[in-house]
Amino acid sequence: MTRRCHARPAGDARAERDAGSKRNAQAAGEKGAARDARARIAAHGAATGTTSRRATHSAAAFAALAALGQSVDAAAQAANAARTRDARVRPPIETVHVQGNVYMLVGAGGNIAVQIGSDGVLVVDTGTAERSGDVLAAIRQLSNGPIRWIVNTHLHADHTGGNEAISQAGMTVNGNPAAIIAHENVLTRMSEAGAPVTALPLNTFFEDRRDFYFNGEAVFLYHVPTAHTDGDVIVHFRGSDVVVAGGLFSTTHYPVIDANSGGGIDGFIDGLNLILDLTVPAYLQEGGTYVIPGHGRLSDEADVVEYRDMTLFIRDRIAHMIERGLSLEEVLAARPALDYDTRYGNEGGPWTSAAFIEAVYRDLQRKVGSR
Amino acid sequence: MTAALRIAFPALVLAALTVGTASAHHSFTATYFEDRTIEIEGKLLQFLFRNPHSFVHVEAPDENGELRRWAVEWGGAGQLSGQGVTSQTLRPGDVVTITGNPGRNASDYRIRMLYLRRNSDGFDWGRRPGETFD
Amino acid sequence: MRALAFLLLAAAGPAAAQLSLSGEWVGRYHEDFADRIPGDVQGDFTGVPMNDAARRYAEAFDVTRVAVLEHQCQPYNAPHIYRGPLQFRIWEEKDPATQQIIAYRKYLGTYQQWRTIWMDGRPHPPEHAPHTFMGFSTGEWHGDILTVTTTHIKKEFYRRSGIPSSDRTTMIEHYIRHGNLLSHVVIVTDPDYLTEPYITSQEFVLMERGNQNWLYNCEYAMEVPKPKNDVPHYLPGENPFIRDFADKFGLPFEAVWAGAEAMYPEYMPTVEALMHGQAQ
Repeated sequence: MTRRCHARPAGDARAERDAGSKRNAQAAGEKGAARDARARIAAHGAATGTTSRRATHSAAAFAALAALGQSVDAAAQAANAARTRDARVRPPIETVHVQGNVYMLVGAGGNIAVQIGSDGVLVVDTGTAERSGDVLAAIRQLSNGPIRWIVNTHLHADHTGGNEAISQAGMTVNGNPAAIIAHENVLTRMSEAGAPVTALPLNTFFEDRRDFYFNGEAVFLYHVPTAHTDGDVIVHFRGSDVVVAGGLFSTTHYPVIDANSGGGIDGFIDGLNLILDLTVPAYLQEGGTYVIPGHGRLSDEADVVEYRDMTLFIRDRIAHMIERGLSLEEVLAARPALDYDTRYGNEGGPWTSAAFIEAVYRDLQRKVGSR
Repeated sequence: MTAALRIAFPALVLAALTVGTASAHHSFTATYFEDRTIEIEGKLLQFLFRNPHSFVHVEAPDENGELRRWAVEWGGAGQLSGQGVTSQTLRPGDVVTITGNPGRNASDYRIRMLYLRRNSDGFDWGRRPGETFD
Repeated sequence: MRALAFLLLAAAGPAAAQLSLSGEWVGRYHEDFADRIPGDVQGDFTGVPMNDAARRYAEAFDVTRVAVLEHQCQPYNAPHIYRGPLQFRIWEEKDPATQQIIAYRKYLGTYQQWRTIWMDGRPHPPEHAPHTFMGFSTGEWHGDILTVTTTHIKKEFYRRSGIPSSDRTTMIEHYIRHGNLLSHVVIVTDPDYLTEPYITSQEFVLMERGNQNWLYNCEYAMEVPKPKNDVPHYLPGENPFIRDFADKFGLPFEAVWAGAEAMYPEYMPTVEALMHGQAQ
């Protein structure tokens, strides 16, 4: 790619390069760590016995994102894990009544939403595989009704790892395991990655949205293309007035753009704006519609607004730097996310500020290159 | 307490009591060029009588003669009510002349109300004592 | 008869030891009036120990962001509301059997907000509980000073100049009543945007007549016609108004921008040197 040179104040360029010399080492270290992680995950993918090259690559990608999803959650759970000397002791699953029929389970990987009522139980996301037993126990504390439906907001293993166990523990009205719903792209990618059929979402849709009625309220599923992944779904419990944001909103880390699974920054912002279209605060930007994030605390519109604003500002800053011809190293050195790094940066974790900036940079640069 | 302070103190208390929510919301000095004024004349499209700020939307030409939807910021509903302005005072279709401070972002076509006059009947606001907002 | 009266007095429980904070209180704005009430030009970052992250945030802040639909009805958060124009009412909620104070309730008139200060020793909520603008507060008396600790506060601002207040702040308040005056000291710690605790104090006077704020009833509307989801902000280095405050008062911008360093008397020689350099 030919670098375009634009006139800009000399002081800015010097500052960027000076900062770059300090940041390059850190960025190189982080990229090296990511390469190491991908290498380990690729080896794991090979060991699972997938034969085709594409399947191996996809398995590696899926496993990489599984590790990423788990690691993102691990960053959030690190404090709890560090306190336990016995590795077999896991922090308990915490159950939060959100409002109406909807509850939030915290501590099983990604946050899980559980809707209960006379029709049975609907579960949005299933956490990690190793916490399935605890998740089922938590669901049973809420309802003895049959688990009829599972909805996957996206493919990552910290949100789908419990699919098999929880589906098998449930039952549709015609006696099959609980049906797992997701966007078609989730099924495609999980199939390519070699996930067992009992863990696959077989009730898929490819249109923009789907809706059905369950436990006395309308349940809407909205597909958000090219966001966290290409298979993201937002779930809206209209009667309970709860939105489950899946991978599109977190209070613990920067937006994760999984480019290997079709994610992109513009779609991510569109997804956050869609959530804001669905949320209505009760009073002074508080309460009203509650939002269950993929990771982090129970939120409402104001929290999503801050996250949307942040994502938009950082996107615009990086886009402007790309227009000025800055390389990735120069963009990293300019620290376009400086005002949010302490809050969302998770330095030392898998999804650092540098990882986020790089993902946005590469996504925007692809679009510039395709013009 | 000196005589001067005795006079000043109640005035401060009064200022504190009459200060409404609008002034807490954002700084007008930061939002508008308070050392400049602009005048527009056009058709009223909408009168948003509300909190935190009322707005009057007017279709009027800009400096190039191009019709724009100008957003004129006014007081909060509570404050304006105390000055005899209600949600019925202005109606879509009224032709009004407005003088105010221009917004710092020119592309917003935004004005802070200083004076309003309705051409049809001469109703006006902003020249009499007490006809201010914050 | 005297003996009976004495016994009756002795049988009555002890009077509450705490000062009463109940009543309607109105702020005094002698200190920092221009900033706290009408607001001044952009670029006033003085008096807040902000860090580089806060500087970047404030530099990017476009004041017209408040016109964005989702921002219009956003009130001040707990650390911020006491600095602005404010009348508030405090009353006690008591256990009917023991007459012990369970909580202090507050109504803050500016945006019609409510606070509860729990006095019954209950713990603060877990990390995954929702945040609110007023947060979750617990209090205890230290002699005649009520000390309140607040967590779970939503993100907002310390100042209208755009200095951000994160959702990881902890606020400590000390309420000190002396006669009809209430001194209110606020100490905020913020791991994301402050280099040290941010301490402010304000005074309130007991009102003889009740709250006279207008009702708020905020309504969302398209104030300034703009594309939906368009959130105004300045790119780094492109805020044209950031030096307005420094220029208005003839201050070196570096001093206005300096954060905690400029908040202490030891900084004066630096200001003088900067102004000397500025004059040359």
